[in-house]
Amino acid sequence: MLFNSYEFMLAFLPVFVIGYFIIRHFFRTGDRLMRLCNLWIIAGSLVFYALFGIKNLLVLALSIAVNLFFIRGLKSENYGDKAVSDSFFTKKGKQKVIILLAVGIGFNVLTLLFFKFSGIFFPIAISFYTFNQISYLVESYRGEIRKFELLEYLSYILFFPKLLQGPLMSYGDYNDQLQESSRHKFDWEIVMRGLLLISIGLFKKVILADTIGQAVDYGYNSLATLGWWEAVLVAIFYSFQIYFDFSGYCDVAGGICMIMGFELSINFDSPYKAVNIIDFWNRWHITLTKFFTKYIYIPLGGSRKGTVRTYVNIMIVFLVSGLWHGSGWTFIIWGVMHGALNVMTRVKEDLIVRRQKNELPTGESNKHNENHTTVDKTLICLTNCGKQLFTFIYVTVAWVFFRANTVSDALLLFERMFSGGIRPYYSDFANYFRLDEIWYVFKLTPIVNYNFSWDLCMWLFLAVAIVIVFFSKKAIYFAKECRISLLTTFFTAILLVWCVLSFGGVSTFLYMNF
Amino acid sequence: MKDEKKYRNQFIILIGLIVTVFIICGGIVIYVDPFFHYHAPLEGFPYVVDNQLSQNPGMAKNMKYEGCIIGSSMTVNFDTDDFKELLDVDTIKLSYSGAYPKDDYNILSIVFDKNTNARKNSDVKAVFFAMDIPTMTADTETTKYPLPEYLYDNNYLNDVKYLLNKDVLLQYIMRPMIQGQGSDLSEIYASWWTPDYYNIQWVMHNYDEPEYVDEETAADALLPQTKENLEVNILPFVENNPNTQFYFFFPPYSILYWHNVMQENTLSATFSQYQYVAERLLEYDNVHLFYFQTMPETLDLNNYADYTHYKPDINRFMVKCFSDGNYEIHSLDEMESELNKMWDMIDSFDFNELLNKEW
Repeated sequence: MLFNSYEFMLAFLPVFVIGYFIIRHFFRTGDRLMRLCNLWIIAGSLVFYALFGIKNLLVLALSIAVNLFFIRGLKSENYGDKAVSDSFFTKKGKQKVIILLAVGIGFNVLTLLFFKFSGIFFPIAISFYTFNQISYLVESYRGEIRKFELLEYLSYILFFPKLLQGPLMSYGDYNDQLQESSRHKFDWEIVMRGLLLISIGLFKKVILADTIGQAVDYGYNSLATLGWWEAVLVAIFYSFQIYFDFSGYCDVAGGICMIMGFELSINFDSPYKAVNIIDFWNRWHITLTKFFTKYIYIPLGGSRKGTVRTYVNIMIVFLVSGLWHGSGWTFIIWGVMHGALNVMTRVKEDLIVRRQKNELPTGESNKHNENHTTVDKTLICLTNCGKQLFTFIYVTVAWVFFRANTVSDALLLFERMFSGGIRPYYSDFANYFRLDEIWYVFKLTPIVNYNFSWDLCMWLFLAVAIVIVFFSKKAIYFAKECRISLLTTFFTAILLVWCVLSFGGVSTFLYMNF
Repeated sequence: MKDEKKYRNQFIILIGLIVTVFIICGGIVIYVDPFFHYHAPLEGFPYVVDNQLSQNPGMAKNMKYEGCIIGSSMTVNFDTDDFKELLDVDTIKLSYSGAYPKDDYNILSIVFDKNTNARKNSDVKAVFFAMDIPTMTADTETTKYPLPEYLYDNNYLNDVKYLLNKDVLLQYIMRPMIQGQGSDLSEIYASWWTPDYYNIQWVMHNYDEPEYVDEETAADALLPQTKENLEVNILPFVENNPNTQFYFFFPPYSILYWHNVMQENTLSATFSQYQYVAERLLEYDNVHLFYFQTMPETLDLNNYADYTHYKPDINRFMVKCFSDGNYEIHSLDEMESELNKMWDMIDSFDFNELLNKEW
């Protein structure tokens, strides 16, 4: 089931959370508490996932069964308990374990590739749980998982707040968090903060992302008739759609975990505030970036094998990232665009570092930085704004390829930006933003008598999106730090009611399809 | 401790607020019931009826009617007042644009459900059924569009999707209340084409000729699926309700429809389908079968808005035929003779002139 569904918000979540609190209340400490917490998480997550259909569940079950075989194999070689370098292992044993690990990883990768490219059907969340399986196998091999526990393994793979769209957590981090969560005492304040975070996440997803999504869908289905500003807005709004979609999901998942006393790895950190593309990837889908770094970039040699090889490795990582997000040329171009700018940014940074080394003696640089005048600070601020803007524009252009059905559709959108001409008011595109609840308020004012009122809701959405994306505090920090008062209680209630009443429309989280 | 109490109170306020709003919203929806899911329409409320998928099941369940119109967009321009005037049957329109046989099955299941308020009020005297041959090859379990299941099943739990639904509250309760004007039930679902659109220039300008298919479909190739659809989705209602009169009609698509059939190289197969369906339907005494495709109006594209959709005057004409028996088929021989006539019409029509002209 989806987070933004009646079933989840009105039935599953309350029952799951209350059940979890009851277990924690009656079994305060010990192994039994952990076992019950794990069992409850497994049972809940299976119900959560089973509602996507039996086919999806069967694929997940198969993945778990086969990986259990590999994990057992690694364990039976007694490798899970010791580091690879331990001398008492025989050479033969080592080889067997390496083969087992390679076959295990191969199985997971091939399964993912099979479902990605065969076109049979794409099991929901397979990319995420497959990566978790790989991570578990490698950690087992490296001896980072001291002891295999079936319940803990299943809980790690299935934990529903991270099952659909991540974050990708290491088993160790997950287990530490679960232990921490099981020790938590029930706290009304934390519950209120968690609910606030959930309400903000739902607002981003249901009200912002889904409304924007309908307009963007219209845009991409009517490329040939878009005016120039509509074409520009389609591209910009898609950047906001995917942002709010993913950010909203992360906030809801974070809110649920906050209530449980569990902290998910940070996966999303105001990415459009990034000042360059490297910064962007340190903020967007952070755990995926770390996964690719750990399991592709570093095994390829990372930056240890010379400059050219480093750049090639970066390009390979982004190509894989493109293909992970989807099959087809559009995703390859998207990956190449990100890889290329990443390489260029590194080249530039390397040059700057080299020049600074040549120009300034040690310590001089810091001294210089300390003596910034107001003019300098303003200039730095403006430069950063310019860098942010450039990064946002570049990422938006790349998203066009990501979203378009074909490369020619993407090119057509760009063409319309320059040749579309001016469309009159009353465009259908703007109409998608006219939510009844907002439009009815406008209708009570004289504003509706003006031509521009038709587009007003669209501009309102754009303004709200810009404020949230570029100027506001990250929702999880806001929820953690704000003073919980009657005002925040009303705010939470309004957002939750608004979102639940808006569930009626059809919507899905974008990142779930990857 | 003091803070703990404060947060607990705020939690109670939060839940109290949410539950109160939900109860008010749900209560309003149950009371007005714009999709007629729970009860018949309130006297005097200006109901807006424009959503076939969501409102048809409720109308079939809770409205008073003796006859119903079933089928695709070929039925949306019927005026139910014509049925009352010409056939003396209080009729309700339950069309689904693009309906597949499974859509017809779903709605007929509700129409003939004896436990509904509609059936407790009166039996079904007549069903007027548009038999679209092209859809008879659809999968027997597939509907044209995904259905809002919560309005079709008897599970009260999933009704939450109806009760706590912003669109239901704002578009189907608040907006009609403010505007004070509901739909005229006799004309619901009518197509958006105004009379100006029914002309040959519009039709030909928007016409997309299908690619020619080299391989001809065998004459009997489409019959197995047609048979299955008939037996699974349609004939059971005819058999189980001998007291209901079923008016099946083959809608009068324009002559251009037959050009599509020829391009797809399924002419013989399509004729076989017509003959087969007629054969199966004519087995029943409570069936009245009409073949309108030989009407001379089908040759004039000024009667159409596209290659199949005819103007409302033709709908009224068909109701007249239901009443006086014009164009009715009584036997397989008559059907064969009509199909021969159709064949001649296709044969003698100058498609080249029509298609090669600049529109």
